Amino acid sequence: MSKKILVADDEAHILHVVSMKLRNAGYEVLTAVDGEEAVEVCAAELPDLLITDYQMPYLTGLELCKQLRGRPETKGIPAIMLTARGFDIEPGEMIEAGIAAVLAKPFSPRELLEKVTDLLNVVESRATTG
Amino acid sequence: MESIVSRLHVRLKNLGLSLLAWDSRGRRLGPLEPGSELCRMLHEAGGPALDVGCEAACQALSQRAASLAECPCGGCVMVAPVVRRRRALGVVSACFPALDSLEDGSLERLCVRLGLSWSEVSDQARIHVRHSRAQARDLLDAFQWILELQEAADLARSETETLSTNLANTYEELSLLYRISGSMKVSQAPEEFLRDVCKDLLEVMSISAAAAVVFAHASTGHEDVVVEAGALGLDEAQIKALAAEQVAHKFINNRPMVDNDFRAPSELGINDAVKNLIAAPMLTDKSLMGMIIGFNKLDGDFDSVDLKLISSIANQASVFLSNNRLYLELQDLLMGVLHALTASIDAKDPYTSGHSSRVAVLSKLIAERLGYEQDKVQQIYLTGLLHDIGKIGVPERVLCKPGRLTEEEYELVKAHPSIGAKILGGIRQLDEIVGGILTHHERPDGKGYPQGLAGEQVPQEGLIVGLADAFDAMTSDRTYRTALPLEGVIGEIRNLSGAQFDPRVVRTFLEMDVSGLMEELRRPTSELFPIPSIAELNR
Repeated sequence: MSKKILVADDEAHILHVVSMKLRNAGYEVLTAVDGEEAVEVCAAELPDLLITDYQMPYLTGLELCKQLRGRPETKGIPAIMLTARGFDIEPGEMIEAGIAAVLAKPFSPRELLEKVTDLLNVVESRATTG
Repeated sequence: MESIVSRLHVRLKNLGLSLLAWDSRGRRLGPLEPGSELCRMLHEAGGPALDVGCEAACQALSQRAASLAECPCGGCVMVAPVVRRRRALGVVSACFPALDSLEDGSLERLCVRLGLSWSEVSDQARIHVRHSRAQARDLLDAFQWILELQEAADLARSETETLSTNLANTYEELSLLYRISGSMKVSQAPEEFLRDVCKDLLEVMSISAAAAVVFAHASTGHEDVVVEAGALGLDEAQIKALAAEQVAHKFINNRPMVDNDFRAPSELGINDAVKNLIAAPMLTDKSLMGMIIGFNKLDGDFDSVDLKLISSIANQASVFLSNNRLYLELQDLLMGVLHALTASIDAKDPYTSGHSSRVAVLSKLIAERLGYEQDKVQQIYLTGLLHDIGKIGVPERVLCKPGRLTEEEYELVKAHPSIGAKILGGIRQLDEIVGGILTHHERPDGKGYPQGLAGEQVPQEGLIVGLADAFDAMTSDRTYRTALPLEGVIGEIRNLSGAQFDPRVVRTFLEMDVSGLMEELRRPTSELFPIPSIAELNR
């Protein structure tokens, strides 16, 4: 069964590029254009991974991750954050929000795919070793 | 075409229409099936052919116009061409049995003629017959419209895919360029920078090896630089030969080149190591500095995307190399000027010719032996070189006096450290060496000049240069005496350890091969002191 990934970004071109890259790699991709929609989709679909932009309408990516951390059904979903270059997130905040990796835009789609694969492997091996 | 047909098929069936399709050459797509149970019954009993609209379809294709035709069962056939960007992809037909044939009894008459049971047929008819002939025109309009929308959606989707792929490639290139430019430092050695570039290229381009070649230039110590990453199995000389002989002349108009089927001449001795390669030149506005080469693409041939990428990278690298060269040339110029300056001061007294250079080299060697960092060693070298610059403020009659100096004359000479410090004090970049120049005549026992500093107060640079200065003075002929024998000089230095000289510096100095040093320093050729380039000082 292929893994489900939710991509949240208010910029359509990023959604397209990332979705295409992930779909070609065999993942099932869901999309959301703002933080609120992302929360709803996460709760309804329980994806295996979340890729989110930082700057989005209604809810920033960071707030989105924190909200997901607060709910029992979504708190285990790891996240990758896309940020503008030069924008840093405190390591403490990152851990608290469950953000496993940060990529600065313009990011390398290939590098993103590598991080996705690594993360999903880690999650899987953790699940199997309990 | 097939995807359009399969998507339409279900939708139209729900509308009570059955679909057939042909490609642009008139060949039917998909199996020939009856549109409905009613249709099947009529056909099997010898009624109308299942592809009744075929002729009309061919006409619609050639005329690029939709039309209506009649089915012998009394129904209607709608045909419409499928067009993308003014090219015909094929033609589609949808047909339906008409209410009119039920109402006016013609369907019943047909059944009787075919020998079918009217009650069975009429059951089917009641299910499948929904539209009348009068509605055919409207249905045809709707049908055409559905086709156009479907076609537009398909086109949009395929364009988006292409755009996304291009965008993804551009993102890769951008993020690579950010990474490269972020790691550029003007004073970084070219080898280090180029090694990083090769590693990046390896990842991003999916190749098995990458190399960068920079042709000989003063900034590289007059040697070719060859840097490699990945697994190529060639040595530096082979890569250099490849670059110079097989690739350099293929840059047409300074554009990058690709050879997807590389055949190496046998004298290179590289056999099959290189299957295909891509290369981009690194240029200054005057000449070819070198090139970046990618070898053996992992999946297929090098394409235009790769060309663009390697071009961008080579441009970045060119900027770096040009700046690096300028920087090194400026440094060399500075060193040259400083040497000329000090030589001119030494030249006032024929006995002191070469003194400043010798003190500089000696000080550098002592500093290295004491374990200082390269930066500090270079500073001490400069301090040694410039230590006597203040002598320009001492009258020549005093500097070159053959006999003993009077008190007054001695005071004039003793002013040279302060004068030197004052001269250089205005040059911000030389701040670090002013201290050593001011204090090179200070002594640990406090009896030095100009300030009479003692012990720890005297900075290391002053102590080192002080020893080197004294050593060279003692072992040289002067206007007032001849050179002292080496044994005596060493003895004198030992005696004065702790008083005039710092014990640690003395100990370190005496560990060196002093007599060997003497010979080296005294070689009367100008080759002994070629002005060392920064590249060499950094080795």
